[in-house]
Formats: sequence, structure tokens, C-alpha cells
Amino acid sequence: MELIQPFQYEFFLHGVIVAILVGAINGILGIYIILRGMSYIGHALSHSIFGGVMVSYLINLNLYIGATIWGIASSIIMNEISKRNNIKLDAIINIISSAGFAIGVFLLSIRKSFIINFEALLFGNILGIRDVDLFMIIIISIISFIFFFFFNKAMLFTIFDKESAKIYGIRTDIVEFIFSIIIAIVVIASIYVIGVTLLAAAITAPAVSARLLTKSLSKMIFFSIIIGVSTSFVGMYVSFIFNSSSGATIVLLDVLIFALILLSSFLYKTYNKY
Amino acid sequence: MSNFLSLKNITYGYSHTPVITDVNLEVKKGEMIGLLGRNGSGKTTLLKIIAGLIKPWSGSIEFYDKPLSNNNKPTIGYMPQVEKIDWDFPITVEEVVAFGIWKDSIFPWFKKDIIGKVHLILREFNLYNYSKSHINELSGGEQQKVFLARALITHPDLLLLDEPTSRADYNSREEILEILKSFNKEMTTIILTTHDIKGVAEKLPKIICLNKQIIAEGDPKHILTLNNLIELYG
Repeated sequence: MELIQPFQYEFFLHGVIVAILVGAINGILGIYIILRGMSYIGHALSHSIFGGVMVSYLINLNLYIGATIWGIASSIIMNEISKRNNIKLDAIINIISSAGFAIGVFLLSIRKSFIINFEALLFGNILGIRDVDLFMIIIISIISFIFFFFFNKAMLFTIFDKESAKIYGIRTDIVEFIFSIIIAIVVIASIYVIGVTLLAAAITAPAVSARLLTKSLSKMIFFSIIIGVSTSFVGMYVSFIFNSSSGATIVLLDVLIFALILLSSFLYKTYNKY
Repeated sequence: MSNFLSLKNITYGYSHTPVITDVNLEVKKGEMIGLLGRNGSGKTTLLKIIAGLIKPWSGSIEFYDKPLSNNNKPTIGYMPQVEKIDWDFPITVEEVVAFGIWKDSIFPWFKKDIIGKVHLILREFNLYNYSKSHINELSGGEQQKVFLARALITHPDLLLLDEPTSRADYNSREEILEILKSFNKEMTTIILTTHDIKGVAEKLPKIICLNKQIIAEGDPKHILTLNNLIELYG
């Protein structure tokens, strides 16, 4: 097979464009998520949104609209229950995300016709990307990049020193609310490429690898984007060649990069010690 | 002369238990005041109420004899308790200080003119050589000076400092007090909390002894008496 053969297929090109966009936004998003110490949120929201996707199918609602509403509602419910009942947020997140996933599985089990889409949603499938998905993912990417551009300082100040950020005029509640919407829509954009079950690693692994490489935030964001984009691109290509799940392939590459950086960092520190 | 700030019958608590009760306080423009008390005495809570971070259960705050509001409030420079800071956060000294004037630009990065202002104050604080350093590369006292620089970069009307010398050694503590005195001479009103009687409280022009209520206020030479200290620390 020629190396460029996959690029002759439109579906593959769609898949690659989506993977690169998703890799880039996940690369940036992952940095804010690990700095906030909420790596579990990608895992939780993607599982929760699975229920929203299934409900949207069932009532013939546009998947993106349905899943976005579901994702935002899940975030709000998680925060509100935690605030009002003095229960730790991680416990609430576990319950809400499992409930969302359970609703999805329940609906799936009574409507077997979902089977093909179900696998694509769980593990990612480049064959599943339609023109409408490509369009929506481009829109979501643009919205996310605009958010990260204009809210970067407010987000960082909020994460670093929330108390002072409020005094210096940042509406931290609004910033955090918009951020949770961004997480929800990025999760939705990533579902077809990465899949619900593997998304958390695709969001956090590039960011954690980048954090091992540098202490500078701007370089960290740069490295995270580069890792996210390259593993998504190579992952899509490899998944085409081996007919493997795109999500699993991308995540395995992310983990491989992380392991290599971790090993080099360990060797570098050991070498410098002696 | 009208008061710069007036706190009237302020009461606040956590989980239905009052932490401060009926606090009345008048602050003149250009005063430098230390809130002295043990852990849980309400110092930080009172500072946060003045900063507008929490709303009191009851009572009111006035700025120049009018209720504090969005249109009637002092500009504030704030320094949190640095013990709460994540020192591994990927941020340089100049970026921490630049957050004090983050509103001056809509771009996601700090523009050259902002960094220029940051460098000016870092020079004043003898921290310029650390501009590009990561914050955890500095000593405890230097880290507190970085946060003080952030609080002062806008030359605010009111400076609120929560334990500004808690990580500082003797030299850094003296340096921080000198910086505060020089800004105070320019009529910046300063309210700070402290545990440190000998190192800080005794060197301030006015202190307030707080143990859920105000026990005493005035010149530390007159109010740091044995009776007051027993009431303060038990």
C-alpha cells in the first residue's frame, strides 16, 4: 500500500482534519484541566454525555445540541449538589457521570439498532465522521480557540489564586461556568475520534507530558498542542493501516510519548545526580 | 474629617457559628493597621469582608461615610496567605506581578508595556534579576515580596495583606516592613494581619487585638498589655 493512499479517501481526510483539530483543542484544554487538578472531569463528562447522545438519538434531536445541553446540565447539577449538600465534588461527579452512562447503556439495550454508532461512540471510529460532524467540530474548535484566546489570563489567574482574582475584577464564577461549557463541547467534538471510554487520557496525557518537559506555561501549551496534534494525526493513519480503533490508537500513542518523556526525565535526573 | 472606611456591627461565621461578632471599626485615610490574634480569631475573615470576598451576616461597611458599592469603593491591592499558593504552578515572577494589571490588555499574553511596568516595581523591590525565574526558585521572603509587588503595582487606595511576613526571615521581614512604611507615607491605607507580636505588631503605628470581637485598639506600646494578651491568646 502506498503511504499516501489513505489521503485519497474523503472520509480519511475528514477524519484527519477532525483528529488534528481535536488534538489541538484537547492539548490546550488539558493544560487548564491538569492545573486545576481536575483530570477526572474529562472522564466523567464523556461518560455522562453518552446518555445525552443516546437520548438525542431517541428523540431525533441534533446530537450536538442534545449532548451539549446534557453536558452543561450535568456540570451544573454536579456543582449545585456539591455546594448545597456539603458532599465532596468527586463523589457527586462519580454518581452523575455513572448515571448518565447508565441511561445511555439502558437505552441502547432496549434499542439494539444503535449498535454500530455505539461502538464508534465508545472507542472512536474515523468511518463515523460525516460532513455535518466535520462542520460542527470546526465550529466547536473555533469557539474553543476564541475562549482560550480571550479568557487565558482570567482562567490562569482564577486557577492560580482565585481569591485575589475576584478582588482584581475577575468574575470567577462566570469564568468557571464558561470553562465547564467549553469542556462539555470539546468532549462532544472528540467523541467520534477518540470515543467516550478513552477520552480522559487523550485530554490529559499530552498536557502531563508537556508539563514534564518545561516549567514555562507558554511552552507547556505549545508542547501539549504539538503532542496532541501529532499523536492524533499519526494515530488516525495507523488506525487506517491496521483497521484499529482510532481512539485506542491515539491514546496508546499519547501514553507512549508520556512514557518516553517520563523515562528520559528520570534518566536525565539520575545522570545529573552523579 | 470623614472616615476612609467604617465597619458597623459586622457579624459573620461559618456553619451557623459566628467567627466575628459586632465588630465596629473606623479607619482613617493613610492609616497602617495590624490585626493581631491567634488562629481562628477572625483576622482573615475580617480582611475578606473588607475586601468584599464575603458578605457579612449583618452590619455594613461605609467608604467615606457612604455605603460601599461598585461605584463607591477604594481600589484594593490584595495579598492572600501565601501558604495557600501552589508553588509548582508554571508561572514566573513577572507573570505573578503582571496579574495585578491583567485588565490592561485583552491579549492572552502580557504585552511589553505591562512587563515594563512589572520590571519597574521588581527593580524597586530588588527582585528584577528573578523576573524570569519560576516562583518556587525564590526564598520564602522573596516570594512574599513578589505578592506584595503585585498588590502594589497599581498604587491602590487600600492595601489588604494576609500574614505578609509569615514565610520571611528577619532581613526579608524588615525589608517588607520598610516597603510598607514607604507606601504608607504616600497615604496608602494598609490593613494587615499578623501573628508576630515582636517582629511585626510592635513596629506598627496602630494595632487591633481581635478574638472574635475587638478586645483593644490603638498604639501597640499602650495596648500590648498582659491583660490584653491573656484575653487574646487565653
